[in-house]
Amino acid sequence: MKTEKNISTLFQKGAERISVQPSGQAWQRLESRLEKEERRGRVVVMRWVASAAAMLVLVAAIWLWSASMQQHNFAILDAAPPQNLEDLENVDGCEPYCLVLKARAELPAYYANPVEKRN
Amino acid sequence: MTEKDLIDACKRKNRQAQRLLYDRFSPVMMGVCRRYIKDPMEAEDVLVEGFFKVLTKIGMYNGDGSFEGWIRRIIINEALMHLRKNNQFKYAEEINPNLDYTEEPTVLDEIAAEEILNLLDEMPPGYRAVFNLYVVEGYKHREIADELGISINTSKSQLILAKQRMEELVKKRLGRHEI
Repeated sequence: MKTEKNISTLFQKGAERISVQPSGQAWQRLESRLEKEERRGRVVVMRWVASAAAMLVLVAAIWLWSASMQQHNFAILDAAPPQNLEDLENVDGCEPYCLVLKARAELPAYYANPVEKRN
Repeated sequence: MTEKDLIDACKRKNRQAQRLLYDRFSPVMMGVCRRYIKDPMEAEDVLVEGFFKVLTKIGMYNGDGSFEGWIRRIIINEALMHLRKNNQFKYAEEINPNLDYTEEPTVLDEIAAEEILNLLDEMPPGYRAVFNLYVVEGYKHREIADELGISINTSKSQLILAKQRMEELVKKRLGRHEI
């Protein structure tokens, strides 16, 4: 019995599963492509890690600096106020306090010799 | 190793698993490439590039649909890109796609794989691509039009012309056999 099939059916049946063995070099080429891509990926990750580390170092440095500044300020605040004018000489913004110290120094003399009140 | 285990290992970039996957699927996929591309070296270039994409994009395969089908689609895309890059698509003028074309039955029971490849090799790349996509891969004309960047009517015309050409080639090559 003659079996007649048209082109489409023949190709459909036969063509989908056609196998051809690739050459031995094909895998090697594929593998080196994969290796190159993986190396590239690692470089990207390394760059991210390096940036993150640099940021961390920067943040740590700023934090340490501000902590030491705070300590310095606290030390100033905790210290007993200077009693003598000489201690204050050349300190920025000391004028009001200098006046206070001067006044304190002269007060005992003032009370000893009060100025006559004007009527 | 089950297919799922193999896929998971490849997702973790395990080289042995990648090799296994390649060994398992490369002969069929090379067959696919050879159907679209006549030159074996170029076909192999496409195979390597295609599998590179498969192995680097395997994270995107989520079990939806057959794995082999997923691979096949990537490989076919790669083959078509290659043909587009080398400007292999020259389309004959559109014929009226609504012409009644009846295929003359060929008196053959089956064609051997080698003969199929030889016949395909003798077709121009444009016809060959449309013929493969429609007849073998089962794409619809709309999908073919999208893939190849042509109109649906062009796809239909090309298919008719391709089938006619194939008929001629079959008759020429194989003669008429009584089975």
